[in-house]
Order: sequence, then structure tokens, then C-alpha cells
Amino acid sequence: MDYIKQRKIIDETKDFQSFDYECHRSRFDEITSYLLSIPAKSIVIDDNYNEDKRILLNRELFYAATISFCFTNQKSSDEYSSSLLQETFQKLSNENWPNYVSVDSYDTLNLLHYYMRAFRAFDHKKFPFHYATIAYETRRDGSNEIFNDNEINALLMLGKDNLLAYCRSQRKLNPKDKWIHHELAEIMYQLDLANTDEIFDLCRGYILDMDSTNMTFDLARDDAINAKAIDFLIKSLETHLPKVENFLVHHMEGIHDEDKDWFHSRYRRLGRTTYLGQDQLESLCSAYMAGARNRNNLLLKQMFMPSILDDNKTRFETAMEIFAAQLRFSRFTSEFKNYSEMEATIKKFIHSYLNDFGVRIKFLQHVREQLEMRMESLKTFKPEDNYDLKKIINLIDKPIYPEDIGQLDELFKYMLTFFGYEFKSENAVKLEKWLADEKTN
Amino acid sequence: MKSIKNILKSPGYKEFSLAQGEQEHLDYFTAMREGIVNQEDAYTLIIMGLARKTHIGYGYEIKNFFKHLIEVINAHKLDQKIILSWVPEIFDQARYAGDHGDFHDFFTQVLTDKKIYQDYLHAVEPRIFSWEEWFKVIKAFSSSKDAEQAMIKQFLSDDHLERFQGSIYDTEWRIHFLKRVLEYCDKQKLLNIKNACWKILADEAVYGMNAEWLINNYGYEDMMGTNKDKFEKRYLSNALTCLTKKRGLFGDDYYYRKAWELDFDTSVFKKTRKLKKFLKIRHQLRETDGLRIIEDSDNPVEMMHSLHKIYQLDSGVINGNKELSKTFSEIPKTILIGLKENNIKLEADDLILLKKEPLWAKGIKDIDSYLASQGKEISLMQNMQILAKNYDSGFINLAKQLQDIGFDNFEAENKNEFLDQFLNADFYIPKFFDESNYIFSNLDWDGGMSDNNGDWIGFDEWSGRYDWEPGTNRMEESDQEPIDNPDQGDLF
Repeated sequence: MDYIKQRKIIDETKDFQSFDYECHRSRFDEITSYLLSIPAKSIVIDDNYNEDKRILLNRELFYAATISFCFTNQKSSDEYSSSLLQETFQKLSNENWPNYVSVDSYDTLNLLHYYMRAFRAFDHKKFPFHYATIAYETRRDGSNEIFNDNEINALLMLGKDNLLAYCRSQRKLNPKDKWIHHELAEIMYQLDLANTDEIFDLCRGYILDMDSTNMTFDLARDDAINAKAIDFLIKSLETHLPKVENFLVHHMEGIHDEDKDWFHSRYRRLGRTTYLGQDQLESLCSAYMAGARNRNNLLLKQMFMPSILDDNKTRFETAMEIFAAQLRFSRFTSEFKNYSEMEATIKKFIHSYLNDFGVRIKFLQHVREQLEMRMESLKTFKPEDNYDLKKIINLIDKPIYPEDIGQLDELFKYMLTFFGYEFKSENAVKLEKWLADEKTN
Repeated sequence: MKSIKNILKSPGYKEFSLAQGEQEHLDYFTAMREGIVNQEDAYTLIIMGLARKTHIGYGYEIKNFFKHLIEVINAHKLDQKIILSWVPEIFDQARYAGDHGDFHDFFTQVLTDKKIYQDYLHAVEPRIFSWEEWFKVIKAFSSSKDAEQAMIKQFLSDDHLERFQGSIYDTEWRIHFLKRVLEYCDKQKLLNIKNACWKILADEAVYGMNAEWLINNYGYEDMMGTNKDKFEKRYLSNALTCLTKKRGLFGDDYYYRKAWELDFDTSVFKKTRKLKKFLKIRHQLRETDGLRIIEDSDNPVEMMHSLHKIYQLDSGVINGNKELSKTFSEIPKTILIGLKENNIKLEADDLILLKKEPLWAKGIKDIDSYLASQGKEISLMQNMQILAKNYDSGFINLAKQLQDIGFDNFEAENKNEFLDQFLNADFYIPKFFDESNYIFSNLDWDGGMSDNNGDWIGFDEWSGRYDWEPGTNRMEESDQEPIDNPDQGDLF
């Protein structure tokens, strides 16, 4: 079947209501036999533009076949057609592109979305498949849409095993994409495809990155998952404190921060409080506060400890000196004859702190830790791929060109917190204030 | 040849339009190309290809696709006059401004006959949408007189530069574009063009952002030439409409904001009744805005900043109104009451402003003595902030003094202030170090500082930005990427 023929079939689909049973039957047969006859592609790790287009074309054909299936299945269901559809789904689900920037859709899970869209096009009242579930642009606003029975039955026509295999393969193919994990967890939960452990394993990564995504923790509605989440978060206080703080701030700002209330109140109005309530967060908050006093004392103590480089100075004084230097360097016209002098002075200053190889290593470890904390979710840190770390190393080791001058702010910030002292995070300040207020009230 | 309209209605085009992306279009085009039997077929195929351009995309894909179209034109020796006749219908197929550019590139490549190309330029100039493409067309005119006439006609038309992107006000691109055009005109000795810009400038001076900046590049008289009166008349009409016409969507804030923004130097204007009326209305609005600040304010520190801004921009507004003048002069007193009642806190910027304004010299002494009575650590912290704001490293010594007092010996409230200033992050970093977030970033991209004479020195120009090279006598660096250094690699 050449592409013009394929495009014609897809184009004709918009008139599907005018087709009779026979027409749908033959379209279904023609499309599925074509899709099943094309050479099987194993998992496509190929960012070739045309290959991406071919995958999309196949999915559009699958959409057309699904609409015809809906029509014929409504008249009389037959197992043969169902198994053909399942087989086609299974085959196409092995086609994936790693680089989905080049294709029309940014939605990697869209084979299943094409299937859902076909049912909605066929009968949107019976199979509403909310846009929030299948449209990339709006999914984040309501991914907790609950499938109705018809929708569940429609999805299960693809076969539970096929769906579970699809979900697992998508997770494997997209190990870092928390949006996909979020959606997969929801599908697996609603279709009862897997046990709580497997579903929570998907939630584990994304619940620690909610602050930067505005993602909701929809599955908190399940008591077992909720309990696992709280246990996990309490354990993570020791290993991923800033991320747990993010999680808590994300949940509590709806209650305490008037500026953010519009966002949370919208969900409340819709009756979709997908955030954990105060009572549910109590054990986590208690565990958090139990460590807070100790952490604060340590931070304060650190301020007045001797500097790393000079026992006669405190870290507080060192931080002042670094900040003073930064301020001085920025006064370029009054401080320096030209840029060469400015650059040489800055380099000399940096090297006066990082001359010692051992200190330099510890400093870079500090930078790495700070960058890790800022990273999304629980990805493994790969220094060689990390542009920010490379930038810092280049500023230390290579000439600082005028166009890179802005990057020095970052380096000085790390110097302040390494040679000076660690600051108490903004989230920690907010949380302690909110929790103290709650206690008072 | 069939009309473009009929070609685009044909079943052949309908089938072609099912193609998606460059490759499918090329496949179809190649198949059809093999079936060409006469020039008629070739014209039809080229029209279809051009019309599909907007569905294929931009850039390399389109250049590549057009290459095939041009091959067919050359292979079948198609008549350039017929191709010229496709303007403007083909341009009507465009969906985005960028499409015009692609079509223009296509016609520029195809119409190799100089006369026909000039005819094409005349045909396309009044229609081409994108301002960049329009300027390309202007520059391509072989006759500078034709270019001059086209520009004057465009600039004096009612929609002048709005033709290119609509009336997106509060943006500055139009004036930057006009500057480029005028620089080109200066080089071409088309000196009358700038006198034709009065209409654009009068509109931009009211609704845009940087008209005065452009006018000052040339000088008012030189820029306006004999059209000075027309400019002033249009500016004042625009300004009066802007300040008085009721606009459903805008609240009062819009009028107050515009009353401050409309600060074109009208001292050079002819003294007319219209000018007097404009100045009166503007003054009234500015005055009401000042009174509104007093009425709405529940924080004397915020009020101080807002009123001082007014005082700096137009001191007549404050001095000419009893209430404004009284409130303004009593600001230190009001702030002192707020401090005593513990309703407000002064940050470094507040103290710097209070100390800077001569009118408040007496009042600030009372504030200083009150602050000194609040414990040594508070005044040390405040002085540290002020020194840091002034880039004075003297704050290091004050930090030592603060440290010598010892955190445990601070008053309870002052402890909290210390933590807020130096330990608790507020927007990533504690308040005292706030500037550290963007101190060098501010130098990047058009940043700079004023020198001792108050002249602005841009960092880019001072440093030589892309031209700077490290000196040869500096410490040579290893060519090896530090991250690959085996010793350092062990780190990770």
C-alpha cells in the first residue's frame, strides 16, 4: 500500500459515519492486514525523521482501523477481529522513537491515545476519554480523570497482558520521563493491571519532583499507595531532604500560601483534591520537624567554625570576603584598566581558594552535590554529561571570556556555600514557619 | 495556462494535498514530474508545489523542495513573465510571515531576467507581509528613486509600520527597525526619508517605547524637517486621546501609567492651546496618582519609594499640591512612628534613599538615633547592608564586630534578623547576599555601570566581548578537558 493510498484511507475516516458495515469490515481487514504484513520493526532506536513519520502514519492507520472495529463490533462482536486488533496493537507498540521532538506529537504514549481517540470519535458520550487524559497540552491539569466502565471495557479489549506489556515497555523505553510514569501508574491502577508495589515503584520518582512540574499525586486516593508514599518520604528525609521539602511545600502551599491558593483552589472547586491533606501529612511533618532543630543548630554552628583555608578566620568572615570580592569585581570601570586585568584578578582570586588539589576536589564534590539536589527526580548524576558542572570547571581552569562573565555568579555562589557556610533553604524556612504556625493554632 | 484557482480546486491537487511532510510531497512530485507531457502540465505542477509549501515547512526542507521545482522550470523552459503573473495570488497562500520570505526567495531565484525581476519587486512590495522581507525588497530595487518613493509612501500611509505586525504596542521593534532602515537610507543618500517618519514617530511616542531615542539620534529639527508642525499636532492629538478616551478594558491605572510615560520633551513644541491642554490634563492625572498613593498606602516605606519616584520625575507635582508636599516632607517622621510601633522594617535600600534625599536630612537623624538605641547588632547589620549596596567592603570589619558580640548575646528579635539576613534563604540566598545572584549576570547582555563622571559604560564594549583573547604571557592552560583528567575523574 503506497503512502497516497494510506493517506486516502486516513482522510476518508472523517466520513466514517456514512460507511456501511461491509465498508467498515473491508477497511478494517485491509488496514490490519497491511499493518501486520509490513516488516516487523524491533524497538526502533532511530531518530530518522522519515522513520518517525512512518511510525505516526501507522498509528493514524491504527486509529482508522479502530474506528471501523468499533462500528463492526457494535453490530456483532467477533473474536477474530478482536485478536487481529490486539495483534496489531502489540506489533505497533514495539515501534517507538527516542527523539520525539521531530514528530508532530510530543506524546510518546500516543499509540494508546490513538486508540482512545478512535473510541471517542466513534461515540464521545459513551467513550468520553477526556482530553485531559490524552492531550499532551492539558494532561497535567487533570490526569486524575477516572475512566468510566465503557472506557475500561474498551481499553481491556486490547487484552490485559498486552496492556501490561505495553506499560512496562514504555517505562523501560522512557526511564527518565516522569510524565509518562505518572500516566502509566494511573492506567495500571485504573485497569488493575499490576499490584501496588509495581504501581508505587512508578510513583517513587515523580513524587519527589512535584515542585517543578505542578504534577499532582493522584494515586494518593488509594490508601495503600498513600501509606507507601509517606513511608518512602520519611525514609527519604535522610537521603533526599531537599526533594522531600519540595514535596511538602508543594502540598502545604495550598493551605498556607495565599499567592498559590488560586492554583489549589481550582482543584478543590473541581472536587479533585489530589493533594494530601494536613492529617495525612502529619507523620511526615513530625518526622521532618524532629530533624529540623538539629539541622538548624548545625547550620548556625557551621557559620562560626574556622575557615577551611585559615584557622584564624571563621566561615562567616570568609563568606563576607568572597561576597566583597564579587562586588568589587563587578565595578569594572573603577577597579580595572581593561578586561585582561579584570580577568587575571578574578582568576588569581579563584586560584587563591582552589590552589590546593585536595580542596579543589572537595569543592567540586560540593558543586556536584548541589547540582544533584537541583536535578529532576532521582536520576543518576553523570558528571561528564552535566553542562553546569563543566561550566564551573572551565571557569576555574580556562580563560574567562567576557561572554561567559555571567556564569561567575554561579561559581561564587558555590564558593560562598563551600568556603563560607551552607544556607538554610527557602523551602525549609517556609515549612518551619508554616508548621510552627500550625502548632500554635 | 489554467488559472491558479482552478488548479487548486482540481482532484489532482486534492490528492497531492494528502501528502504530509517533505518526503511524501517529494515522492508525489517526482511521480507527477515523470508524467509531464507539455508546459501546461509543468506550470500546473509548479503551482501545486508552491501552494503546498506552507504545509511542508520552512528552512532547509523548503529550500530542498524548491530546488526540485526550479529544476522543472529550467527543464521545461517556463516563461518568466507567466511566473511573474502568479504574484500576488501565490503570496495569498501564505499562512505565516515566514512564508512570504520563502516565496520571495523562490521568485528571486527563478526570475533571472533583470527587467522582469524589477517588475516583480514593484508588484510584491505593497503586499509582502514581513518587515524583514519588505526591507529586502526595498534594497533590491535597482532605482534608488523607486526605493525612496516606496518607503515614503509606506511611512506616510495610515498603517505605516503596523502593516507588518499589527498594532502591538509597548514593544520596541518598530523603532529599532526604523533605525536600521534610516541607517541604510543615510548610506544611500536618501536623506528625505527621515522627514517622512513623523507620523510613525508621533504614534510611537505615545503608544510605543523608544521614539524619542531615535529622534535624539538625529536631533529634533533634523529629523522632522518641514514636518515639525505635523508631528506636534499628531503627537498631541494621540496623547490627548490616550489620556482622555474611555477604554472599556482599561482601568484607571492605565491613564495614570500613561500620564507618566508621556514624557516627550515638549519644551521644543510650538506654544499652542492644544499643548497647554495636554500639559494640564497630564498634570492633573499625575497629581491624582500621587494622592491615590497616599490614600491607598498602608505602608510608609512603600509610600516613600512611590512618592520619591514622582518627585524625581516631576517635582512640580509634589511641590504644587499642599497635601502631597506635606506628606512627602514628613515621610521620615511617619517612618519613625512605624518603627517605634514595630509595624515596619527598614531594608538597606530604604535607608539609602532616606539618607540621599536632602529634604529629609533632619528626619533621618532621628531615625538613626532610634536605630542606634535598638542594640548594637541591629545598627551593625544595617550599616553592613548599606555598605554592601554601595560596593564598599567595609562591611567585612562590621561582620567581625558582629561576630565578636556573639550570636548568643543578641537580643531575641535581633537574632531573628541576623538569621534572616545571613542564614535563611529568600529566593535561593539570604537577603544580605541577594545581589550575589546576579551581580555578574547583570554585566552580560547590555549590562554595565556608570563611571566616575556618571557616563554609562557598557560591559560589552569595555571588555571587547567577542574580540577579547587571553594574553600570551598568562598561565598556559592544559588543552585537555579537566573533566577527562584521570585524577579528577576519580572524583566521580
